[in-house]
Amino acid sequence: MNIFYKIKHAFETKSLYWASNFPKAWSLGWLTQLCITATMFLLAFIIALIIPVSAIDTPDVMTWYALGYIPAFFWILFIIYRLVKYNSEKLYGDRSIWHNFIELPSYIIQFALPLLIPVIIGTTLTFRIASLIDDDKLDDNANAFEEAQPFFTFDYGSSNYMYFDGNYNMTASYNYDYLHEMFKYFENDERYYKYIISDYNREEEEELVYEMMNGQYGQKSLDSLSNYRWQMKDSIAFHKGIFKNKRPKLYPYRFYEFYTDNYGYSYNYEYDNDYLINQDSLKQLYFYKYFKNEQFIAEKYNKLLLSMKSIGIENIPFTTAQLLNLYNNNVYFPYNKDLRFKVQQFDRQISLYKKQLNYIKTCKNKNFFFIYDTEIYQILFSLVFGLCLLLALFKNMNWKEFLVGLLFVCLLPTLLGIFMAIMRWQEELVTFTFWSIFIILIVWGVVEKRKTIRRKRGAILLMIPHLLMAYFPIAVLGTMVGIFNFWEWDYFDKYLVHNPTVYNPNNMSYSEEYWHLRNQSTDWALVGGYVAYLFVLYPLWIKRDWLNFMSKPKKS
Amino acid sequence: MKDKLLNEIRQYLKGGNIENASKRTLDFTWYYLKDYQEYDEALAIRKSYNLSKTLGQTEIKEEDLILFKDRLNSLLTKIEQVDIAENELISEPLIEVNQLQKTFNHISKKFKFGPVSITINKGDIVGVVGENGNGKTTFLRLIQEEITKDSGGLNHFYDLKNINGSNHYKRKNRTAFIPQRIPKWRGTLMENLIYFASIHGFKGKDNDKIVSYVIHRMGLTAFVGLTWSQISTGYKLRFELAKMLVWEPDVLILDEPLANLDIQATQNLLDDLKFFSQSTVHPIGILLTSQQLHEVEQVSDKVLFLRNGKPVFCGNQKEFEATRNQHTIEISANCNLTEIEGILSNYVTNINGFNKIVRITFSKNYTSTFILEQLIKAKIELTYYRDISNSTVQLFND
Repeated sequence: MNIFYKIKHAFETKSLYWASNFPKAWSLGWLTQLCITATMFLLAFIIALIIPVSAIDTPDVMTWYALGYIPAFFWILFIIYRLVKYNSEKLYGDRSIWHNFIELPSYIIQFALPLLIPVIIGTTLTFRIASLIDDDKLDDNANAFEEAQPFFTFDYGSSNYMYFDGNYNMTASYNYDYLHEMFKYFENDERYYKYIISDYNREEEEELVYEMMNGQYGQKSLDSLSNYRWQMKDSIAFHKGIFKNKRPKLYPYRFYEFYTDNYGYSYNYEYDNDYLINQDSLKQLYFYKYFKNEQFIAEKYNKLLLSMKSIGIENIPFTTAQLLNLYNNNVYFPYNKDLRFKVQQFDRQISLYKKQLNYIKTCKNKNFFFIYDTEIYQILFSLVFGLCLLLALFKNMNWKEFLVGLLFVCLLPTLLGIFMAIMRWQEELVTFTFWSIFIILIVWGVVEKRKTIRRKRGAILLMIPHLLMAYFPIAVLGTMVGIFNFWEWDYFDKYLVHNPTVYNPNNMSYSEEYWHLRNQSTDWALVGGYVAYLFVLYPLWIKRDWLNFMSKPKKS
Repeated sequence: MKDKLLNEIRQYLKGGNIENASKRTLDFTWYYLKDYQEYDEALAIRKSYNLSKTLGQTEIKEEDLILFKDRLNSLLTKIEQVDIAENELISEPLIEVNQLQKTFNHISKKFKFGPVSITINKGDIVGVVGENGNGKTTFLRLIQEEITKDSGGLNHFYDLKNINGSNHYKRKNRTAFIPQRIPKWRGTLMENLIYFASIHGFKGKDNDKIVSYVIHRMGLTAFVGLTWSQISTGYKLRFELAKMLVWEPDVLILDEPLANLDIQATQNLLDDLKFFSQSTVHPIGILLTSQQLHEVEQVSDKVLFLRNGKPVFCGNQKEFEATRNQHTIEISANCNLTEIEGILSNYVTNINGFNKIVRITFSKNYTSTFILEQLIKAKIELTYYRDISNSTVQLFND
């Protein structure tokens, strides 16, 4: 008790020292914040350290990362409470220009600090998972999986891998994503990077792979790629609506059926002549080279089973010999109950194995979307910036005015959204409407502010323009693009390059440099807006003007 | 000022009034010996005196009082030996109000305030009086720039650059306003006092000094750790005043400060206000409204009497008396009104009574003493007497 009293006393003394020397920092609760920061970060780190982690039972980093936002949220609430509690602007405290310069950045730092909790949890967990298996060992395991992969009898890696209805009809969805497997062959092709940074749709991705295979690697790597190529062709046909029905995936006989051409659906061979020319030779090649070679398959399975055991997946229901037997006898397992359960069990184990390998690999590469993606932090920064601005600038408003203003702020995008939906997302019209509202609000707010001195109404109206001013450059760019089709101007023709495809041999498309320029312009417009707002507009004009405006006498 | 203060301290010590003696000694050392040991000593005496009082009581043990008296006497002897240079209080205008007008156009009621002209100087206390709903608070809000004026001039002359024009924030930064309903604050008294002083430029050691001076000076020593809900209404006002005094504003505006105070607290507050306004170190202009006319008039340098928003009188008591051609007194006696009328019928011009108080108006040819003599001769036993010839209270009945 005595120690507790001493700590409390020391804390209070220090707190009063801060109140006396740094009132604005104190009013934000910086001392308490520092203590909370240290405690929270330590707690987050300890929690991430004590969460059980093993190769076959890894915690979901994203869930823990998301959970980290809960204390962050309460922390932010605490800061807001302190702001309301000691508000120097409502008390008309002294204010120099330096306060204006420091205020907003300090708020941003303060509000950004809580957001580090999920990052600490996520990063610690990621490092722990990444260090579960050595890099070499993981590569070996991945190789074992990939080499054995063509001989799997099951739809591995798919969440709805297979199931049986009451009549023992097996169905499965056609969702095996092989594209990422394909791309590993194209790491030296610049189009691969274009794929990485862009957001192609599925069909475009497949076309890209198809082109790349035909153009650069088609005949050369026929051996290793043909398996994927078959699937890809199917997929293209499927997406283009060529297949009338979903293709059933009877995978124990996949290659057999493939060979006998017994699909149960019709295929429009006219679609791709290339397919017709090569199909027989490919099938023959594959079949004779691998699928009749028992020793080869046994070797691959053995290696796979060993690597599975090495990360703790045991009690595998099939030995290598049994699996081979299954292959050779072409047992149609849905009608054999025991076998069916064994197959299911094995499939689960394979799925788990693949999932865990992928997960550990993802952790090693540190490419979890939320934790390391800059776009997410851009969005978070915008949110924090908006929140800080709301509090830093409008904290001397009354609650009622503030909430009404906030309602206005929320109402504008909502109305715009409804309007956009009604107008079928016509960009030009939406941009025009946005600017009209922006200008109307500024003019209206300024008139209220300057002439009639209706402070409350003026304050509410001016909230939106004040908040949006940081986004002025990006809005200008948006207007240029939306209304004037800026990026299509003749000036940018110099970036056009001849980029033929199978489907469009005369295609002219923009170069990488052009896309880089586009991305950079957007980034700079955003960053430039923030910097100009933080270090020029806010301290030199907006804050001072707002304070004087809010100190103005009211009408009654 | 210096000699006056010393005399005051001697008087209080003679009369055994340790409360006021310790307060004035602290004031004296704060003004003239702030950086000397004497100030620390005065602060220590005042602090221990405050702490020796039990919460809610003012009585202290006899032996403690003797001890405090001895300590103060020895400190006084030391103080008297120090050679102190004193500044003169220069009365300069702080706020100049010229033909200020404001109209409220409510559907049910239209109210027109003004035109009012008045100058508030450094060291002035201006009392704004009048019946309820006659524009007192409106006047304060206009001065504080809470509400817009319709016409007229309102100029501020604080010692700052760019104080006029649209620089509302800076003006409010130098004006302290205590509304009738004190807004709720959070945290402890100590935190708030330190925070208020520091956001107005008193930081570090300056902050420590002024905050401890105001706390002990205002008798809040035992209250510093308390929060809003833990103190009484009277103390809330006292604390609000302390919060304003720690940052030395140029103008202090108080709306009905006496409404919730007992007689002793009222006297103390008015005494304190008079004292702070007259300070030669940091004189301030004070503007207050109240219904307690006699008390306000005692301390005010100017009284502004408002009726229906119009100024009926604006000036000091002497000026008011000059405007009246008759004397007025108030008495209360153990007889009825008719009896008094019978005795004084030859001398007075008007007699009226309300609730046992009889107000007598008579020509300036007679003195109050003469009128009282007539009553005593007639063996009337008086229980209350007050000469209100120079008091604006008369305007209530006009």
